[in-house]
Order: sequence, then structure tokens, then C-alpha cells
Amino acid sequence: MKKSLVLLLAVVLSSCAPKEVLDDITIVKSIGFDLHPKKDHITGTILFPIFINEETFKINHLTATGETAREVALELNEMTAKPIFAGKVNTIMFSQKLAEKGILETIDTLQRDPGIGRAIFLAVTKEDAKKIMTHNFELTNTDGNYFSHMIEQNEHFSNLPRLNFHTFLYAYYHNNMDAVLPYLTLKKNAVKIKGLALFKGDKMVGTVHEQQLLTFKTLIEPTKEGSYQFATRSYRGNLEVLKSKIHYKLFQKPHHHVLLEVNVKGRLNEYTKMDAGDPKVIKSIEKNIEADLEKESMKLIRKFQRLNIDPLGIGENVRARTRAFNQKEWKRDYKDLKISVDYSVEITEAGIAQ
Amino acid sequence: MNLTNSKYPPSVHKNARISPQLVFFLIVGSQVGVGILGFVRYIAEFVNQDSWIIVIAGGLGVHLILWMMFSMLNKHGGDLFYLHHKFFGKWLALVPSLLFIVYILVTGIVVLRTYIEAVQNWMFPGLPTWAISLFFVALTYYIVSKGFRVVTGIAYFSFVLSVWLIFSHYFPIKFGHSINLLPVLSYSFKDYFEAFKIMVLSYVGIEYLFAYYPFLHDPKKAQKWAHIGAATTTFFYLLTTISTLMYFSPKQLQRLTWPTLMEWKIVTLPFIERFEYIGITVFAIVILINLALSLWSSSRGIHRMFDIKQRTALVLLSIILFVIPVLFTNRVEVDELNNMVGKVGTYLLYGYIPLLFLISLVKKGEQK
Amino acid sequence: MNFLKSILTAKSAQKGSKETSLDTNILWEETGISDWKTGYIQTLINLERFDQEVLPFLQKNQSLSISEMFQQLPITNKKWCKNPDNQTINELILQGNIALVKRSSKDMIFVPIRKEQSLRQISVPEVEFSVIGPKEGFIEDIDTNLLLIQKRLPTSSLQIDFLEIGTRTKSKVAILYLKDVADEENVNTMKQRLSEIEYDHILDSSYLVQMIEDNKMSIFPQFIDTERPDRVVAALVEGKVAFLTNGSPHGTYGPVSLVEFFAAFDDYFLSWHIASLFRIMRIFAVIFSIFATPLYVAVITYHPELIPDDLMSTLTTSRTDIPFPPVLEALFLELTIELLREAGARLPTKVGQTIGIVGGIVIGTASVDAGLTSNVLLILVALSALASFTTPVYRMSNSIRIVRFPMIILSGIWGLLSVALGLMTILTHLLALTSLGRPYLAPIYPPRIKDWKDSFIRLPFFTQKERPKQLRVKEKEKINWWKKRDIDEFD
Repeated sequence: MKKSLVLLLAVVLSSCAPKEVLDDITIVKSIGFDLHPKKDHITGTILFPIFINEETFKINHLTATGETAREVALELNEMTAKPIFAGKVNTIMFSQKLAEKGILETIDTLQRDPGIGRAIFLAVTKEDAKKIMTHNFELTNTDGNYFSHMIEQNEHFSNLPRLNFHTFLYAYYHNNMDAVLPYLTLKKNAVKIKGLALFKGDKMVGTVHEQQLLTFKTLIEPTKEGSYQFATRSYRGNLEVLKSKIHYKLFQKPHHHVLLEVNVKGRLNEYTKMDAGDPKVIKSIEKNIEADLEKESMKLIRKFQRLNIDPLGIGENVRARTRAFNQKEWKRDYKDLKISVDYSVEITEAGIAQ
Repeated sequence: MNLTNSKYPPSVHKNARISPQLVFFLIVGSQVGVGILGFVRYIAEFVNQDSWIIVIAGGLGVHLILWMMFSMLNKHGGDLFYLHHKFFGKWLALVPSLLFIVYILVTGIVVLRTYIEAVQNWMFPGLPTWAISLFFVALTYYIVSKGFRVVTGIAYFSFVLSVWLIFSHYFPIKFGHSINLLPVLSYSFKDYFEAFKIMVLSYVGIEYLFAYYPFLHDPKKAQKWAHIGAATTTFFYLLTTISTLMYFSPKQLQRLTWPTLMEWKIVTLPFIERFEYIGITVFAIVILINLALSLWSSSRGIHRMFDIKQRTALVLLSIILFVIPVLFTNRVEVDELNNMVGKVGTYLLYGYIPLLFLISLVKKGEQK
Repeated sequence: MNFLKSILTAKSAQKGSKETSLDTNILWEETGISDWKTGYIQTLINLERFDQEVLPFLQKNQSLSISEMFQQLPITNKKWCKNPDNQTINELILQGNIALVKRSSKDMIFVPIRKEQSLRQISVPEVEFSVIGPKEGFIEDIDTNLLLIQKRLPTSSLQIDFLEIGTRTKSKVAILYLKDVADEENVNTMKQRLSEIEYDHILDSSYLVQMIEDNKMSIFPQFIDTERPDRVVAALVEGKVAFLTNGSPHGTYGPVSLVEFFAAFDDYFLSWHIASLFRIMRIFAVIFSIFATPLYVAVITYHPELIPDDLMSTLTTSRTDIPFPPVLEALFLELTIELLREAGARLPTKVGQTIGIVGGIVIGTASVDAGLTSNVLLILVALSALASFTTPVYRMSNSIRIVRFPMIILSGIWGLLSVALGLMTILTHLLALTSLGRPYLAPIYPPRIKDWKDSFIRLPFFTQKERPKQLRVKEKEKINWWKKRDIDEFD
């Protein structure tokens, strides 16, 4: 016991770990990066709460410029009363202009910082990130969690696929995959999901329209949520996706052919004609939706092939099902590969009222 | 100095012995260390999606070695130092016995230094190595000085307090991609062999049995529990491997030093986020038993060989265990140390122990 | 007085000056007419009985010889000492005897007519009060206490051995155990440790408990003392060894294990579901009590990343404007609570309660208002203080409150890491700890799953067929009467 006391004393006297006491740090909630007019310079904006007294706090923002993210951080640190703490960052935004130029450096700095989580959200903004972040959202962004909560709830309950920092890195470092990020825009007093930003390596090369989000989601991962708006000349309606699964089928002969089979189960939420209880009608609606989705998804895949990117990980799925998979050949052939999609939609319920 | 101490099997008081079931905790406690946080990257470098095969193969290998160890100890009784004395004679026994002690101590040093590395990289950058080392060594000294029963108790508690961590694999598996495990068996034999050699480092730890065998109440029964323990370790490794492979893409994995810690970043519970801090903390408890067993076995070895009081030996070895980690200053050196121990461990497990086993078959057993 | 003086001088001449002199408090009286003298200490004897029974007899039969007197005096339990030395005389008279001396003889007769001390009534146990179940508690008299136990255990296997401990206080100690159940090693260890004690005053069993503990440096108690005779009886039947001390309203028993300290005795009076729930709750309370504040301090000081977004602003706002680092703040609050507790314990009950409540509310609110402490920490500290009071054994709840302080200090050094190491230090200490040589952490470690049914849970009585393994008892079975009936089967 005496020994341990001596030890304790020695440790206490020698080395307390660096403290990060909750109220003595600037808790950064969001970071935004923009392209600076000066060559090779980026602008960083941070959003952080300032605690005024024991009841109230306000969200504040600061901006600085530098060549790298590290430099921006140092610059910002020179302006804050308390040291900057990046451990609780929940959203990182890049402006489209910056994303198109490449975000490798910034991403690299961020991923090396053990303080940055992986369940945080990355996004590309149509406008400057600074403009979105410093916009006065009044009541919606009182605690600095607005952006992350908005993306999170859309991933959990709507058409946005599961995307976060980890999925970005996963795809970014993947040989047979390319990254995507949510694509945001400013709309009056809110931020809106405009679709997806497609990446090739660390550069943004295109977008997916918001109406194609559900198609994209069903193509990339099995899902249990989402809603699909469909319309023909005679009726319109809304399908709430309850369950969707994707299977890959490969055909080697007569020539390479990849078939994506997607099973979607759902229920009608909204339907402009009154006879949705009739099995025949349901069948025809199913057929219509299937055709619609197939058309949409083929459009998407064509686009990906044209851009020579693979955000769906088709290549990865092929690799997993092929022995002696040849990376180079695949890369070369991908653009002209025959890929087709086969949806089968099943409507299980037609809402609570007939 | 008196070298004849190891001429006879040691007599251990019945109060110092442990019941056979507890060997389970000793085996798991000695095998699972800080290595589980990073080993997948090293084997995946060679065989990527087939890493889990290597994990199972390594586990089976351990069972074989464990069986050899038990059968020679069961036949001749005593511990490794007694076996050496019996097989090689008083003077010649010195060499392998001493090497064994040094090796055991170095395994402790590796674990401690690697863990300190993790703490400095993930939790407290800039915390001096010596301070953490001092803290751990003092606590280990305290544990070991209380005797083998307490060491076993710590093995038990470190198991109980850390086994729940396996549930944290739920998140990476949930967010993971099962196609990462396909296609099966697509590498050359050479790759598998290389990976296997690296995997051995994660399985070392069973050799402590050579020192604590005389402390088992019913060695025959204990053997069963030892095998169950080794199987459990294999299961933990398998789970870790599968979740890591599913969660990371191959190139991404190769960029990480501590994949398991990185996995924990995704674990988010309503009351807690950023699970890796909890993980590192719990691993302080996990490595404590590694250290305690290493210190206990090596000090016991010195006591057995030279007839020095174990407490004296313990003080000396504790000082060594405290000082050496401080001498390693960067990641590269720590990596090299790891590699070296891995190599020696491979030779020990798959070279020396089978050799000793063969000799023990020839030599006459203990008369009853 | 003359002849007595001559005896005295003669004796002191014989044995030199080392001879103890007679107690000066002894009153030597001539009985009036006779050859007989009496010696006693007035405060120790029952004067009424002396006047009514002894004196008249003496006066009537003054001519009897010593042996005749010894035979005829109508009082039981008297002693005839041949030529006693001063020390014996002192001792016997101090025990409440009256010495009878005849002029011509050196022998003495000692007649016990001790004054019966008016004892405290057997009352309700105050600390270990239970709503249901017996309400008798031990009192300060060992004979009454033994009676309370013997009444509950009318069996010949109950062995009671007496010892006298304390060179000056000569406290009577009784060691109790069941001959056919308790392990001899346990009994012998207890006996040996008690008989080895050399201390001048033993005023309470607590003195003895601290002197016979296995590890005297440990802050964890290694014996349970209880004021409930029924609890002692239950321990005896289980195979434990108990002792009672004269002057102490507590029975003490061992060997015990850590979990027993969290079992209130009325757990056995409640249904097993409720009892198990309460026990688990108490153990959680203890863990909470020890670790809540340190974990809070560790997270707030070193790992703010761990705090979920939604909790972040609550915690931060509560800490704004507070000048102290979290460790000091926590220590300050813990000390305040300890002060309140101590003040409450020192003052008379009613005032104490008031101080506790008023002090708690006033100081708590004021310190939050003054911006000295954060209200979140205040809640935590108050809760953990409350939690520590749920421990049924008083000694243990004190230990737990003390263990908190090093943990808080540790949490201020390296956060979670040092808390984990602190936990392991405590565990190592507990692992090495024994009670009467038996492992203290049993049945958790060594893991004896069979004994878990009466440890941190209490399963129904029919499952409690065996006595705990930790005690190494002679008779292992407790009961064996439970028969499982098939569906629709009747006896």
C-alpha cells in the first residue's frame, strides 16, 4: 500500500495528461471547406457554440484561410478564446467548387486525427459551404446539430443511402468502388438534400438527382425504408418501401453480362384512383413501377459508365464472384460492359383504408 | 547460486494451487493481448479475404502444441526447468531455460510497449512512456507479489470485465459488406504460409503453462479446460477478423495500424459515443494479465533455476520491464520488436516445443 | 483490623515487596460480636442480600469453623480458598464476592452476592431494523446475549468457549460455533487469534474485530458484526464461527465474503424475487457510488468525445462559469457531503436530521447559485452518497465512501485509463484478501457457481440445499426435502 502511494504521488507530480475540460474548449460542431480565390488556398469555416451563462448558449462561426486544413485549424485557433476541439465534429461540408478540384489533402488530414469520429457526416454543398453554415437558421440550428440530424434522419427514414465518413473512406480506398456524398443546397430557411455528389477518386464528377435517390439506394444496399413517387398519364401514387434486396448475377457466356436483381416490397401510401384494393390493379401498378425503376436505374448506370465510375460497387460484386479476378481488365472493360437491372416489385398492403 | 533447485519437480503448497477450470482464464488471458487490436492488417496483407482461414489454422496449431506440452508435462511432471534439467543435465539446461525466461519477459515488454503506443496515438498524445510504464509495472508487481492465486484471479476478472467487448463487433458487421469475404481460397500456398507465420504472434502465450503447470490441482482435467480456452481465443480472433474484413475495404485496412480501434469509432450508443476510448481503457485490463503472467513466469523461472527468492527476482525483472519500453521511441522500433518476438515465438512453438516433445517421448517418465 | 494487618505484613515479609497490595477500596468489617470479618466493595455487592442472608447467619453461628461455615452458609456457588494471595483476593472481591475470614485461619470463603446491574431492556435493533421478522437486538450484557442465541439454538452441538481478554478490563468473550458443522480450522484460527490478543482494555467487540482481521491494513472489514441475534444464529448454522464480547451489543462472525456485506438480513424474510432484486440493486448502488463521480470527472476532463451530442450542451452549460477543474469540484462536493454526514452523526438524532436536510438543501442550492459547482455533478455526488448508504453493514458502507476518494483523484490524472487501473488495484487487493484464511471474494472468485444462489441474488429456500463451499463445513447438506411433482400429481 505504501508503495502504491509513493507511485501515485510520483505519477501525479510527473504527468497529468493534457486536459480537455468540457468548458475550456471550443467544441466545433461543423466544419466547412471552400475554395479560396488565391491559388492552392482553402477557406475553412467552423461552427461552435458559445456558452454565455448557465442557461443560454449561441452558435457562432469563424472563418480562416490557409493552404491545408491543418493550417486553417491553426489560423482559427489563433482567433478563439479556448483551444479548438475537433472531437465532436458531426458534419463536414465541402463546396462543389472545392470538391471538383479534389479534397484529398483535407480528407487525409481529417482521417489522421484520432479525435475525428467515423460516424460523422460528409456532404458537398452547391453553394459555398461558408454561405450555408453562416446562414441564419434562427430556430432550426440552435445547437449546431441541424445539419447532421437532417442527414441522419433522411438516411434512417427516407431515400438517402447510409453515407458517412467511413463509407466515404471505404469507397475512396477501394479498387472497385467510387465514393458518393450527399449533395446539399440552401433553400430559404433550410438546407435541402439535392441529391448525391459522385466522386471519381477525390474529385467530384457529377450528381445524382434527388428523384433518383431511391433508385440509387435500392441499387447500392438492402434497405428497409424509402418512398417512391410514381406517375403515369392516368394516375399518380406513392410507394412506401418496406424491404428491398439486391442480388447480383453474372453471365460469362456468351459475353460478360452483369444482372442486378432487385426485390422491392412496399405498400401504397397514396394513390389517385380509388380501386387500389383490386388485385388486378395492384398487379398493373407493380408492373408500372418495375418498368419505371428499371428505366431510372439504367439511366443511372449508363451515367456511371459514361463517367467511368462505380459508386454501386458493381466491380466489387463481380470480384467476389469471380476467381482470378483481373483488376486491369475490369477497369478497361467497365465502360462498355453490359449491365442490366431487373426489378420485381411486390405491393403487400394498400394503406389502412381501401 | 544453487543450480540444483530445478533437479526436482517443485513442491507447491495445496493452498497455492488452482482448480482446473481456472486454466481456461489463464490460457485466454495469456493469448489475447493488445495484438487483437491490429493483427488482422498483418495477415490480410498476404491473404486478404481468406484471413479467417489462417486464424482457424493457427488456432488448430495451438491445440496441437498445447497437447504436446501437456503430454510431456503429464509424463514427467514438474515444469520446463525440471524438464530441461532432466533432459540436458545441470549445465546444459541453463541455456534453454535462460532463453525461455528472456523470451517470456520480452513478450511482456512487447505487449506493454505496444499498448503504450496505442494510448499515445489514440488517447493521450504526449503522455511520457515512462509514466504509463511505471503505472503498469507497479500494478503488475503488486499483483504478482500476491502470488499465483491472485494472478489467476486477475486473469478471471480481466476475462469477465472485457469479454462483453465482443458485442461491439455487432456494429461493424452490421455496417459491413459480406462480399468482402469472397471468393474463398484464392491465394497461393506461399501466401498462406507467410500469413500463418505472422499469425503465430497472436497465439503465443500458451508457453507460460510451462511455468505454472505445477500449480494445477488436477492437470488431466485442466488440459480439457486449456483446450477450451485456446478454442475461445480462436473464436475471439475469428470474430475480430471477420468483422474487420467486412468493415474495411482491403486498401483502407492496409492504411490502419489499429483496425479494431477504428471499428469502434462507429459504435454509438444512446449514452455514449466514440467507443474506442472505452475500448482502450478496457484493454488496459486485458494487457494487465499478459504482464502479470509474463512477470510471474519469468521470476518463477529465475527462482527455479538459481534458487533465488522469487520476490528478489520479481523486483529485478519489474525494473527491466519498466525501463526497456522507455528505450523504444517510435512506431518503427515497436513494430520491429513485435516482428522479432513473432519470429522467436514461431520457432519456439513450432520448432522447439515439438523437439522437446520428441525428446520427452524417448526419456523415461516419472516413477510413481 | 489488627489481625488483618498482621496477615498482610507477614505475607509481604514472606514474598518481598513485589507482592501486590490489597485493593484499598475493599471495606473490611467486623461483623460485630464474632471472630468473623467480612471484606467487600460496597458498590459491587447486593447490600440487601448481605444484610438479610449473610450477616444474620454469621451472627447466629459465629462459632463455626471455616469448613463448617462453608458447608452451612445457605448460598450457592461460594468458594473456599486456602491461604489465598492478595491478587486472588482482589480479583474475587472485584468480581462481586464477599470475603469471609475467621480470626484464627488464613483461609477465606468467598460468597458471591453480586449486585445485579440494572440492564438495558432488550430493544429493537436500530441499525439493522427490519419491518418484518424478529425485533430483538443484543444488549451490553453477554449473559443476556448468550441467552438470546441459546434460546434460538436449543441444540447440544452449540459449543460456547469462554475467554478473558484485556489485561485490565478482563472482558469476557464467548466463542460460539456448531460442533458438528463448523470447520475446525476456522474455529481454531478464531480461538488462536483471540487468545493471542494482548491489550489492556477491550471495551467493545470492535476492538477485537480490528485486532483479529487477516489484513489489518485493509480498509475493507473482514468480519461482520451485527446487533441481530437471529443473524448470528443463521451464521452459526451455516457453519461460521461467532464471538460475543461482554459490554458490546454486537455479535461478530466469520469467515465472510464480500457479497455478504450487501445482504441485509431481512432479505430472508422477503420473497426471494424481491430479495434478489434488492440485493442486485444494492450491488449496483455500490458500483455507482464508487465509479459515478470518477467517471464523470474523467469524461468531462479528458474525453469529451464520449458525450453524445444531445447531452453535450446540458453538461457544458452546467459547467460554464465554474472556476475549479472538475476534480477539485468533485472533491469539494464529496467532502461537503461527508461533513454533513459526520455532523449529523455527532449531533442528537433530531438536530442531526435537521442539519442533514437543511444543510444539504441550503449548501447545495447556494453553491450552484454561486457558480461554485455544477448542478449535474451535485446530482451525481448526492446520488452516490445516497447509494453508499444502501449497504446494510455499517462498516462496509464507510469503506465504500472512503474508496471513492482515491478513485476521484485517479480520474483526475489520466481519465478513464487511471480509473481502470484503480479498479484493478482494488480488485487485486480484494483477491488477496482473506477472512479467517478463506477467500474474501468467494463465490465470485474462485468462481463457485453453486454458491451464487445466496450471494448477489437469493434464490428460494428449496434451492439452498448446501452450505457455502467457502466455509469448508463438515456437514455439507442443509436440507433435502424438495420433491418435484409431475403435472396433476398429488401426494
